[in-house]
Amino acid sequence: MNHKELIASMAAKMNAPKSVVADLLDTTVKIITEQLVDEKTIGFQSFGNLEVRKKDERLSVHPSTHIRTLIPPKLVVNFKQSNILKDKFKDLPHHE
Amino acid sequence: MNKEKISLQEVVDLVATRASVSKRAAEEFLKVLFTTIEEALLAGDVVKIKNFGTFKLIWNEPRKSVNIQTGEEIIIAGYYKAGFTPDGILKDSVNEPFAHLKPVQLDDVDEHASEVDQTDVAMDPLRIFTEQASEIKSLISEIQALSPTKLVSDNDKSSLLSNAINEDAEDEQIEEDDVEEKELELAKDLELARELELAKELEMVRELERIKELELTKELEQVKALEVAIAIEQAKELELDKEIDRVKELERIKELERSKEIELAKELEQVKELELAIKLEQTREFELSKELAQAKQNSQIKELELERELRAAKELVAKAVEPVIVTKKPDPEFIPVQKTVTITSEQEDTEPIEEKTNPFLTNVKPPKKRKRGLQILVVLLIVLVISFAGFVIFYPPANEMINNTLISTQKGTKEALNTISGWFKTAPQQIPHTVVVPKDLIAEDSVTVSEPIDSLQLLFDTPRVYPEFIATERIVRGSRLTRMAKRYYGTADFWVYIYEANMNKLQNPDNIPAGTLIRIPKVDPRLIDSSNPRCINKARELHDLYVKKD
Repeated sequence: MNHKELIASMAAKMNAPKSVVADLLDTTVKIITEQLVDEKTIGFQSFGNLEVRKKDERLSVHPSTHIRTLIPPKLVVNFKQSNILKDKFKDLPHHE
Repeated sequence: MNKEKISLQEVVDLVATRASVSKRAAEEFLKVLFTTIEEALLAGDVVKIKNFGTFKLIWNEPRKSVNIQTGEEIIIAGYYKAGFTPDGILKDSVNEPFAHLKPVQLDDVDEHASEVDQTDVAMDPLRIFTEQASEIKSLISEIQALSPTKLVSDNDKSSLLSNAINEDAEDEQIEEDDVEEKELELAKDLELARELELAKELEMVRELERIKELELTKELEQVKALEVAIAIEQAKELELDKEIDRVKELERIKELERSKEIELAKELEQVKELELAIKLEQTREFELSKELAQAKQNSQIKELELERELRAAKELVAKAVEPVIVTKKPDPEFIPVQKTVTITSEQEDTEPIEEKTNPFLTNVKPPKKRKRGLQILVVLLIVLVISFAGFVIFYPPANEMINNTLISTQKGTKEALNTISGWFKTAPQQIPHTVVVPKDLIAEDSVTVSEPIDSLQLLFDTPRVYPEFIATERIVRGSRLTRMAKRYYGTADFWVYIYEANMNKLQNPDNIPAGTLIRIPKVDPRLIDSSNPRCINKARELHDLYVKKD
């Protein structure tokens, strides 16, 4: 489901025009991004937590050339699903 | 790092203020967003949100574990979990503080070279030692080989000399008789020769001794040289050890320097973070002061508006009393103004009905909405004037209405305005079934004037309501919604509208149980215009939506 399809299905559920839904989604994404840039954790009770984690610097060694490289520290976005969501996916059969 | 946590409610507030939407709408939007993502994930789909990231299910393999209490082996079943991969933009903006850092390739190549040098240096003394040892060995062997041969040759010489002397002696004994005189001379000569020979022999012996001494001294020197060489080698080894120690120390110093650099970089980062925090606080304070000022202004404006409204209300009351008198003495400039005021008030009355069903149409952009409302009003006025003319010509009962209005009004403009006001009064009664009525749809009832293209989009976006039905069908084996659509609307693609009207009865559009009563709704003719490709596209879009959803 891509961006367009998501907007279409949401518009159908909310009885609202697509343009409005698209605008709302855009602002939501912007707000979440801003909050994450401020290093705030965003908790959606029924969905999960979005938070920023710091990955420390580390030494990596190239397996074949043995060249050691210092990887600098970085900040990454991490999503942790809530227990409610976890329970919903629990009984899904494995298919692949 | 401040780990402040924000709840859904705060995000809702932010979205509501930013998008100028009511909080209720924003909350509903977010809940629908999460349920939609959830449903898509449950259906095994991936959800991509532009500029944000991708949600998808990740399979965790079943694994063995041990019960801590009993020590029993248990198998944790495999399960799916929702994973999120941030989009490039989100990733970059979050990693802004560390964006300037690049991976550093440590100078591993040089270190490797120095190691090679070290091994060479380490190998050198051994090599030198073996070389020297071989030289020494060869020297010793030479010496050993030389000294016995020389001794042998000396002995030979001495024996030869003695033989020669013996022969001389025999010769003398033979020639004694012949030459007695000569004997003496010879004896003297011999004696002289013997003496000479003896002297020579002595010299030879001395020389031999000297040579031996020399050789001995040479050997001694060589031994000394060997000892010196060994001492040098030991010294070299010591130096090497020292050098290795030094290299190690250098490496340690380098490592220390590196760690210091890293620490410095960390400190710099912390300083930067602090600076950022200070800046943020400053900007926040600034924003707060701005917001305060705005709030004050808003409150003032609201007060002013309230006062104005009060005045307007008073005027309205005053004017409402007046018309009875005014109609007799019509004031051409005054009355239209009054009429428009009443119209707008009625317009406002009709709006709340829409708000209940669809908060977005009214709540999203209020200032634009008013402008559009005015435009629509103007269009409506024109359309209604034309429609009124049509009524006068073709519809006899309309004449009575016109006559009535003619009595009450005297000028042309007034007629139109009055009919509009009359229409607005009757409008809610004419369409009691429909909950939501697009404004241009009402205009469409009387006149089929070519509408601007956007009105079609507006029609697409407004939720469809089916108050009237043109037929009822009973599903038998082999019945298809598409066939019904073809029969009633002309094109099979429009089956979605039949489905929409009967959605409460149908679970799956592809599998309808026989015997179900299907009501065929009356659909706006513009929606099922089979000659318009946009209508077909819209229907197909809806088709995708319903077929995919189920």
